[in-house]
Amino acid sequence: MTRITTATTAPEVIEARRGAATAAIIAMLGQTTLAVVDDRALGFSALVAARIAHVALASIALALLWLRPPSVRGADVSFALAAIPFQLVLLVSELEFHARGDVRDHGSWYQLTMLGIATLAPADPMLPAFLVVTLGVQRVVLRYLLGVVPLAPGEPWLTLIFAAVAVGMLVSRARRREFVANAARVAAHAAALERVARLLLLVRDRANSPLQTVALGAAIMRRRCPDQQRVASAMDRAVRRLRKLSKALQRASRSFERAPL
Amino acid sequence: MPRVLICDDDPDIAEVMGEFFQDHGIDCVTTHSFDEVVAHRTESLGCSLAILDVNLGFGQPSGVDVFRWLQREHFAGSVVFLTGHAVTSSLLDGARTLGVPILSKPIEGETLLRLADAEASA
Repeated sequence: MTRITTATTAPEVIEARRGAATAAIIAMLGQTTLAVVDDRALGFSALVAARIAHVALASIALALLWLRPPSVRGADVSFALAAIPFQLVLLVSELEFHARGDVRDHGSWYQLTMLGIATLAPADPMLPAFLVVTLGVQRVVLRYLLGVVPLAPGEPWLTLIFAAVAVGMLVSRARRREFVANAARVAAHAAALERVARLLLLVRDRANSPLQTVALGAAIMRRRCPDQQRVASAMDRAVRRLRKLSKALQRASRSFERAPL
Repeated sequence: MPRVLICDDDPDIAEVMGEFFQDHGIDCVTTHSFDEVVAHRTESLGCSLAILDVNLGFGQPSGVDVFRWLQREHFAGSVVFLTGHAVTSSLLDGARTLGVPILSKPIEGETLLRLADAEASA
């Protein structure tokens, strides 16, 4: 299979793929490590299985990024594959430790996950924002409906504050991306206008010499062939029209140069 | 009688302009390059008006170079630059610093005759 290199890939696509790839690698390495640790501490459990499943999904996400043609949409899909399982793993982890009576606070894991999502989300902010919000909701639901009591002071509300910050970061990054894309569009438009202006000037410059020849040729014809006055007059009128056109081209090229971006 | 030096790398313009002047009883020295002007030194310096195209071709000495040569040779007539460039070029910018009139192509026959007549009566 021939891979499409990133040499001609747009910067926003490269950035999106980089974010998705980083998320997938973090998920693979992090969950592999934690799966080994949990397996040794707890034995094989639902949590270890969930972590292994997450590693598998993150691997698929990375493989898709590697094998599929580069695109922002593809990066979004890979990121979703790598990031969504974090929620399930955190849920399983909280419930399993709670069931074992091993009370430990997962708040920092939630917060880390939220900030990671906000930092690495490729392009579409909707799914990452939804994921962050549901992580926060999950924390509250676990606390008040299932009675999983967090140890850290201020929880679960502190995690909700992190969720709000993460959503803010996602919105800010989306706006920045939009601004950069607009700036790129404006720059491309300006470059196109400049090319048109140069072309108009070139046309005008190239037209002037033959126009000079025709203008003087008509004057010579008028003098040498008195019986061809009508033809000479027609040539004079043609030259005048071409001269007006030439001036219009010059005005147009100047207006392009001054065109607001 | 006025005599006009024409230097334009476009052979059509040079020829038609020469024919135009001759039709009006004005003798012309028609050239297409700096080298030709120098080669026709005596005839060139004997003219009362020099009409020089600013751009005499890529990589070739320009009308500005012809003007400077004429100055060095104590050309007694007046000089007019002719240009097809609309706004700016490095050559045109150079010509603007010399204090020589610059006319944009296409110029009318009457304008050419006025220039030649002005020199004749000067």
